[in-house]
Amino acid sequence: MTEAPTQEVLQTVETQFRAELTEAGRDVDALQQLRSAFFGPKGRLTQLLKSVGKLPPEQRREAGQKTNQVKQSLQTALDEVLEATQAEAREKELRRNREDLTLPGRAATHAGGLHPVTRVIHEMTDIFHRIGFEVAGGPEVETDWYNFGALNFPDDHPARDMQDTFFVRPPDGASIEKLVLRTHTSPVQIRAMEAQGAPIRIVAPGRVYRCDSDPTHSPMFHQIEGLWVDEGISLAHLRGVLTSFLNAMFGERGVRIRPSFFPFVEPGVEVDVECVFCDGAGCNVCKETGWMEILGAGMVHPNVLAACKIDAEKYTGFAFGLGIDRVAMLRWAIDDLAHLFRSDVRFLKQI
Amino acid sequence: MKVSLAWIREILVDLKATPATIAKRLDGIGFEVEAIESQESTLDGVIVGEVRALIPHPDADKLRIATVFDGEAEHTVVCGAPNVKEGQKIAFAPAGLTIPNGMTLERRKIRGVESSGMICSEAELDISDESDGILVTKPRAKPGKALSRVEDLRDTVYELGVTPNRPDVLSHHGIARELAAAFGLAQPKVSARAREAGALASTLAKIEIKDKNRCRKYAGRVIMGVKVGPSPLWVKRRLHRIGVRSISNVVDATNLVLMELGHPLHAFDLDKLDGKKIVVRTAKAGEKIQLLDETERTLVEEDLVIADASKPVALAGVMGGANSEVTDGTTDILLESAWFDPKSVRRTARRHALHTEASHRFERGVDWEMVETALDRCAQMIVELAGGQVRRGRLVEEKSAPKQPVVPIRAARASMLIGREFDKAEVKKSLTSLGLRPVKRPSTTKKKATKKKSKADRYADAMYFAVPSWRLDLNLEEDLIEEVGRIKGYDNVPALMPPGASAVITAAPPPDDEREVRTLLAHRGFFECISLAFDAEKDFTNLGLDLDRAVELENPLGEQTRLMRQSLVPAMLRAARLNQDNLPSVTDLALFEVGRTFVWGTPPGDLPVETTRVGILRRGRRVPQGWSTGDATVDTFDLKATIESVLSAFRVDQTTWHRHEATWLHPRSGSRVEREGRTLGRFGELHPDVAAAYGLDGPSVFVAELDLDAIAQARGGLPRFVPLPRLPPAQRDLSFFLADEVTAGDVVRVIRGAAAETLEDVSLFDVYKGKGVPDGKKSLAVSLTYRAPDRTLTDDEVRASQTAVIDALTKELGADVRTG
Repeated sequence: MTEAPTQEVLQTVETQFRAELTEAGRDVDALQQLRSAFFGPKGRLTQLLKSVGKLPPEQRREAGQKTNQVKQSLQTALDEVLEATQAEAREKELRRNREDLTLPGRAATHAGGLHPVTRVIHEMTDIFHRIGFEVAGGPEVETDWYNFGALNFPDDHPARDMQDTFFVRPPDGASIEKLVLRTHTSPVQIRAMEAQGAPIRIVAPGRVYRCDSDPTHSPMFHQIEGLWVDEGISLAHLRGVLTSFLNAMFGERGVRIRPSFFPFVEPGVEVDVECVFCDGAGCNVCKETGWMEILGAGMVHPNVLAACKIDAEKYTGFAFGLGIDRVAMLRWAIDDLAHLFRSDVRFLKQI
Repeated sequence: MKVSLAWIREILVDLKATPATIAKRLDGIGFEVEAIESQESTLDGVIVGEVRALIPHPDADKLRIATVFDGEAEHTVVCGAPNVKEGQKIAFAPAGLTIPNGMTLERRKIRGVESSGMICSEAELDISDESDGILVTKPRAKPGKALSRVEDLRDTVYELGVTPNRPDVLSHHGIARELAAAFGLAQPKVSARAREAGALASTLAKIEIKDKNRCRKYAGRVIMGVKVGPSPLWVKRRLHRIGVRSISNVVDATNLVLMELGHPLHAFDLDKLDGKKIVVRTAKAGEKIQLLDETERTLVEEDLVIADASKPVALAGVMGGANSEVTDGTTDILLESAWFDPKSVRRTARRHALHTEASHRFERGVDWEMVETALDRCAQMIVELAGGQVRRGRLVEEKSAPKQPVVPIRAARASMLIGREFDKAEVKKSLTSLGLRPVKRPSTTKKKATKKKSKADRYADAMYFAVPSWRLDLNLEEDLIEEVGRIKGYDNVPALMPPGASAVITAAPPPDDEREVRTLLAHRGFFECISLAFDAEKDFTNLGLDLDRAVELENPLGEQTRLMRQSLVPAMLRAARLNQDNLPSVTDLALFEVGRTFVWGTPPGDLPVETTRVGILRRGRRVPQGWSTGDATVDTFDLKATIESVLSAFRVDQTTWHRHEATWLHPRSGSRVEREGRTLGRFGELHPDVAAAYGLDGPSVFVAELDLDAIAQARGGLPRFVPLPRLPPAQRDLSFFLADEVTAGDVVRVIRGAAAETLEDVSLFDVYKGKGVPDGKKSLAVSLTYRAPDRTLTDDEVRASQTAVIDALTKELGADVRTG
């Protein structure tokens, strides 16, 4: 049966198609059926197009165009619905078996971490490196000369009482110089100057030992030493370097220097930084002074330069030393020094 | 050191600044104010009360009931002191007040009578040690007035930190000198005149110094007819305020002068001195002395003593002897003021573990010029407090006075060193304010002058200053520069970056081996520990370490910390134990430490050998416990992977792995990694006996100790890029049975030896024992990758190589090849 694609016929076909399209809804199978029923080899519109050829030649052109228009428009409508339906189905598929991401992540390794003291050492050496210092080191078991003598601590002088010293027993039969566990990182100054001469700029972080154990003292703790010797170095340079270091470490805050005494510097000073807890207003940590005593420093004593065979008239320099453990305690508000050296994972995990 | 501001103001009458300003200035010139205590504020609320009535307590014999008028109202106060009398003006602390001894007064019933407030003693108010009875104040004092005003107790006490280079400020006079300079006042003077009477002292006692190097000067005075007894209240109060116990008027006089002038003095009972004679000599070996602290000391020949004709009567410069002590019955006194060698006093004090006010000053060095001044001042003070008469003349034996130096200073050098400008006038003013005296340039001998010509020229523009007798710390130009800087203050010193401060950063920092390994292990799930570097002998025997070469401390804190560690392992095991005890349910642990170990070389060198090592410890689960992870526990291969990651980070190649026997390692897995015969590390499962020795139960413990110095020395250079292969590889798998004892290392070695040059890689991908594998054998599967850089390999080439490999495995290792 073939009908001619008259206006009415096309109208009817379109009405019928749209009705069936609505009825098919979001059913992919029904939509596919609809496609073959209208556009398949035996579909209604395919048939109508074929029948165009049987029309008288003067009607073919117009009938052909019209039929094609209808076909195009209906096919587009069908494609749109089909596409939307497929997209919906895919979306639904993607959303199946949604995962509970409130469950913890699956860790391939245990949590680990650097010790707070190490973190502070890294931070400090990085800052000093940017200022122009190199890192140096020395032994932890030291001779009396490097730990005291070369640093202008006379024998049998009360200045030695400032540091409770561990003495090392010489091996049986060995006749060697008196040995100590270094009480400060300052011997590295001497070793570095002996090796390198002047000018020199070094920092030396490391472990030091004092024969002292109570809630605020550990027999082993950490210091970082700094030394800058060159022509024309002054106390103002000490102030400049330490101010920029302290600002990098603790943020921009006041820095003051007060006279003090360490045998290996002259003048000797203490350097205070405005309290990091109260910003200078006064609190428990700074004993209401607004300042925290943070490091000892001074201009390298001419006797020390002389001990290292450096011309003390030509060269001057500054040296400083500070305790690392206390900075770590301040940084993470650690209230007990003993935590640092106890290897308790409950503590280490927190940092 | 405690310093009373009221006392300072007596010495430095022109000092008008407030206590706070003075404290700030003290800090500024280098004397750290560690504490400030205002007596006025500690006595806040304590007032004058009038005892208007006093009746016996009905139920207690020793108590009385006082009616105390506070200027406004009357209070009922139960009082136990025997010296309360009607009409007295007393120190009254009303109810609710916390008095200086820490007690908070509450209204409460004492034996049935309600008592409100308290009538206080001096001790309760922390005014003096006086605790026998209450403080009775002036009869005309008005009830209700603050006690601190009526009794003039408005003082401020500073606790000062004095550095060991400044013995000259260990006194009120010394601090006054510093404050005079700081505030631009005239230097204080000491007035010391002893009124003399009667016979010449030299007829009453004799002094002889046998060792004039160690006792350079000994001065004495004789005081006759004293009456020893308690000190007057003002003395007790003054001493109490600066933390000195009142003993008797004579002893208190020596302490007052010590605290005022800084010079130690000692009073002997002249009648107890055999032969009325003082001999300063070294001790005889084995000689004994009973000291004032009631201990008996056996002396050595090194000790300097003060002796009489027959026996030691004091340990020179340290402490007096009991046998010559001033007691209640004493009437005649020999007063000592001396100058002892600092080192000698220090050695003796340390030998006998004594630290006294006297030794503290003598070992730092006392002022030569003060010896006789302090003697006179003290003699006069004794007469004032205890009566008696000072006999005529001083007994003095001495060697020459120590020479005080003349020191140059150049204003330009001072400006350079401090980093701010000082002109000559400023320098001179600062130094003279401290008691230094400008002098002419000292003349040098001709010979010296020519030799040191260039040096002399440098000082052409210098000023020269004579250092006063009390300053023992000023010898060099830098010392004077510090004085100028200190008095001028450092607040005006600018903050300057040194020239070239940042220009030097031209290269990346050298490799920081420790940082590299620490960061790597932290990222691989290990927590870093830092442990004290001490071990006990038991740790050495537990682990089989070399006790003979152990580095030992002479003065350890305890037996557990007597040796410097030779291995990081004991500390790691203690850490494992601590964590096991803290959290017994969680046995997963991954720790590491980077630190040094100490051992004496053979033969021992000048210093012990220090090696930086990495200690690693693991136990428990391989991955953290979770909702979707297995419970597999770590084994030696996990540990080995960690070690391999360290070696690979350092690009260490050509490593070989060997069995390693050690007391601390389990025989089944103890291993060692080497490169060119040098051990880089030891590792394996912890020996069960060692685990037991440290109380480790639960999952096995795996430990490694790496020699970071050796690894760093074996660090490989930067790898060179190899062009990416353009041709495909040929891959062949082989599987075979092998005897159990043949190692994977052997297999790889044999394959590499037999295969064609085109063999690129061998990888072992399966090891199996069990069903289907004969007893005593294991099944191994390897994958061989062949590739030539310039051509595609033919099947024949590869097959020929495979045949050679199979042949070698069969012949050399007895392999039974199953597929190939």
